[in-house]
Amino acid sequence: MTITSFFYFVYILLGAFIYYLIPLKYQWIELFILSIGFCYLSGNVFSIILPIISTVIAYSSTWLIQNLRINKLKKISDGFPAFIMFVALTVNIVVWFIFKCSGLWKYPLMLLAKRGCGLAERTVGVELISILGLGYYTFQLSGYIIDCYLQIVEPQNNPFKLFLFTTYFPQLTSGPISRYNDLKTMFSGRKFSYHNIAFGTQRILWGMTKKILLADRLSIIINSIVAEPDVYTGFYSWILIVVSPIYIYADFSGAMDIVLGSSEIFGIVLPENFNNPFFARTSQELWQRWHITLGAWAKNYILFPVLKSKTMLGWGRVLKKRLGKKLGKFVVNCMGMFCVWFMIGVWHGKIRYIVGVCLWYWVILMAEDLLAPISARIVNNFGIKSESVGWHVFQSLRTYLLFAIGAAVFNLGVFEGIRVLKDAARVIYKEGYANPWIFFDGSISKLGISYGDLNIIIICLSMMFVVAILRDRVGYARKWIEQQSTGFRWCIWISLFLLVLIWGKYGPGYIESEFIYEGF
Amino acid sequence: MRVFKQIAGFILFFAILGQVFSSTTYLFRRANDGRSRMVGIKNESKLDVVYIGGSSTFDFWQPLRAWNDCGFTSYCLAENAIKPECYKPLAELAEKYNDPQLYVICAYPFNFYSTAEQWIRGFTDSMDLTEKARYDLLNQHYRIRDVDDDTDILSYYIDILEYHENRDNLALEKAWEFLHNEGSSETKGFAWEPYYKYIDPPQRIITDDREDLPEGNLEVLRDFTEYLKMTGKEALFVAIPNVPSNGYRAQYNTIMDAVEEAGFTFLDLNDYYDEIGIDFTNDYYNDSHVNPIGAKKYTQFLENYIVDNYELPDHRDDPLYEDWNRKTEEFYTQEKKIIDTVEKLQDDYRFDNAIAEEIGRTENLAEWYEYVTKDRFTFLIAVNTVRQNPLQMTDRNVFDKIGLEQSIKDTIIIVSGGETVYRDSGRDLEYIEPNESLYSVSLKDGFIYAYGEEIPIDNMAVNVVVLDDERQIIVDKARLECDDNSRIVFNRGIEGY
Repeated sequence: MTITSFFYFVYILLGAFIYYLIPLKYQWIELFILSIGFCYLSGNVFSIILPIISTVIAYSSTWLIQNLRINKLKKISDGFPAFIMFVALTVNIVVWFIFKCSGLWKYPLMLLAKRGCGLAERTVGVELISILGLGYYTFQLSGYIIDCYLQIVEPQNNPFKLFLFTTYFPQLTSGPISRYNDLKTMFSGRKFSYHNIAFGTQRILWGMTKKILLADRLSIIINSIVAEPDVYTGFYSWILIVVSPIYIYADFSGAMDIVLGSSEIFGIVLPENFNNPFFARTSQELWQRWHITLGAWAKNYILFPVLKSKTMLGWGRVLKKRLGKKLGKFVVNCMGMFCVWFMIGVWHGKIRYIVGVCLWYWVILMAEDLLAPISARIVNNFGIKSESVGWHVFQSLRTYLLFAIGAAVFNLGVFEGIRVLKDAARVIYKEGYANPWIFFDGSISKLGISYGDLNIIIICLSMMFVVAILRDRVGYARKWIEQQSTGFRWCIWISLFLLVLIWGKYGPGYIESEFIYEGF
Repeated sequence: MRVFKQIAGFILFFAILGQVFSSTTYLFRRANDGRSRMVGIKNESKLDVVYIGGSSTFDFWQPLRAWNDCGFTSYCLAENAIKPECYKPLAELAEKYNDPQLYVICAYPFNFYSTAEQWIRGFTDSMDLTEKARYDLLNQHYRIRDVDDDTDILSYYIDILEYHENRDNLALEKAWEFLHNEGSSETKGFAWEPYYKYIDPPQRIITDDREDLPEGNLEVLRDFTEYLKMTGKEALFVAIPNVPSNGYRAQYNTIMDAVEEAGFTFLDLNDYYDEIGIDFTNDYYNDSHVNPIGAKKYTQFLENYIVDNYELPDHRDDPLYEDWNRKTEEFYTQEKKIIDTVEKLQDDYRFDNAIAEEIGRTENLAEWYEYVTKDRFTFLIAVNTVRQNPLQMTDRNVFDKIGLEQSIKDTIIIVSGGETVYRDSGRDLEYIEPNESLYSVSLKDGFIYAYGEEIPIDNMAVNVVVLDDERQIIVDKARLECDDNSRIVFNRGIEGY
């Protein structure tokens, strides 16, 4: 059962109907049952077993930590709770690493297998079961364990409630990665709210628009170009580079809209994962607006602990002495950010994500940070109006392009991504290589989409732009629409519904494309 | 008050959304005559007779002729490839909209069962989304039938999932006429089939044997007859006169038992060829379906049978039925044109038969070529290595048209209806007709095979075999050779030829 399927919507609606009928204090039980059901229907029985194991580890470790502190067993050293936390985190992370990062640990085993190691050969051949949401709930639970250790949150005494926190079904497929404090209100129950139902449904509809109207069409373009690299060269590579970020954004944020909308129907607010990332003027700003919860998790549980560790503080003092305050601070920051981006790359599970994507963005962010004073001086000296719309657009486009380079590798893999980037570069420096006529002679329509599809893409992009502007100026578009007249509101929602109904990519004969981030 | 407004707004919004959804569904469904026929039943008020079946109904029964001749109203509630489980829901529809006195049921579809899932859409995707009969049909169908695992059952219940890509419908006037799933059939469900094919009369089979029906069909039949009994209406089950029916006589006996057990009449019209006046060589366009000439005869026989055996009213003087008179006039005007078309096809067929005779006799290559490139004929050419090559003749017009170069060897050419469908050269080359393997050519084996006959290939000649695709017979087999005067001769009289 995917979250764009008809059965999922029936599941949500029936679930919500029962949810609001039962007493508030028992509503979390219904969410618990829905989550187990969702794990089974969308994954397999191991998608229930592994979260149980992870929850048991988290529950028992946090219980132990709390009790050690309460009992103040002086014979047990103060380091013991830290040790328990470390063991619990390690077990969860190792399980996650084995199942989700096989692209990383199988690679050295393959090298060993080639050298004749029988054990390596047998291990490489093992088929691993896909576990729904493993990447998301592992990080979520890890954050919970750390928060309990740091006494930011009180450990959950009810293991079933903790299991619900682990496997809360809307966020199992693509996140977001929530903190315990954000979600613990789900145990209190919610009264029926027509507003929640309406807003949640509207958001789901918007998510469907992005996914089955826009993202699935863009994937056709991307796949067509990638399928025939010798045919589609020159500006086709530029199309690939420019389209990739929009495709990833439409797919991922579409999933988020469906997830957050589903949760909103139950009155549970999940954290946002996107905030108009393409309006960002710098890469740093973009990463504060893109996959926000993963970035926040990495900042809270990797960056801050690394930077505040005794080792790093010691290095910091030494570097500041040797390189000066600014440069010393910059180097320390680099090291901390390297850990963050490396971890983010590992979380995505394949070498191409580490090397080609996350380390690329690390380099860009650090370069931006280093060059920021020079850039400011240039803007000042040339009298550039830094708050003008034109400059803002330039910055956003520049940021977009840098992001797009990484997105191309994210989508295509390291070697294919580099090939495409090289081909795109040839358009600039190699005389006669550019082929701009492809935009005018109907070649685009040979990429597996019709002119009707192109119109839909343009309409969707326009709608997304309007929604983004509204979000930037007045807040959520749905709130703005809510303030308009009834007729206008109904026109919008019915039109959007019709658009999805008629032009959506679904139905018999369609192989439902997975959400990109479902695999993590 | 606020809650009341919210509830009212909620209901109104979803009512509008529901209407938009259903109208969109109706707009995107197929917009063809079959749909007009199915939705047209709602447009009819009271009917005296409803005839339920598949193409074996709407090709055979002419309601407007029956009206003109006998004065009772009838309608063909039928669509292609009807499955047995469709009968009861269709009868439910007819009960709801038309309250007929008599049901005529085509029993032919009960003899077989096709697993092709799509055919059920002809019925379900014409009914209103709120029609109970639609869901009864689907539920029963999926209850008793095994379907492929990859069948998307949901798209049968919510058919916009299937049709939402029919965006071309937005540009079709006819599709917009179906916006509310309303329509009408000008011929009361009858379909004009202006085609003709010569059909050999079937061998009549008489038997008292009983044979089982395909799994599920008898259960469905019994359930249907029970329903008909419950309605208290009369029902006449008919076996249409066609070639395959003769192979189903034992199964028809089983059907007859079930029908008569329920107190209804079973009429096997395969016992009445003479009385109907049906002529298989003239009245059909394939071995299962009549053309309008055959439909006329069928209707005239059956309407008299109905009038003789059932008391039906005669509305011809009733001014309320003026519309039927108007449509009947149009029907007869149309019939004249269509029968002219069919008769022309029959004339063409007979003319082509004469051509076929001539093909096997003519000695003139140009004339021969003109005949064999008509639509109805396929000719096969096999050329092995030749010594005295007739292709080197001075008159090369025809050979150039066929594509036989002077130096050609080890070549097979197939031309069908004047179009080259295959041409290739190669040692030991072979070709097999791709659809039904009706003919093949093997240079390796040295034979041409066609319609069960084996014709040897001569290495010294251009070997040709001409096939009549219509009658599936060989009309000419010859070797083109040179005579002493370097002229092409058709050598037809040798062994194997």
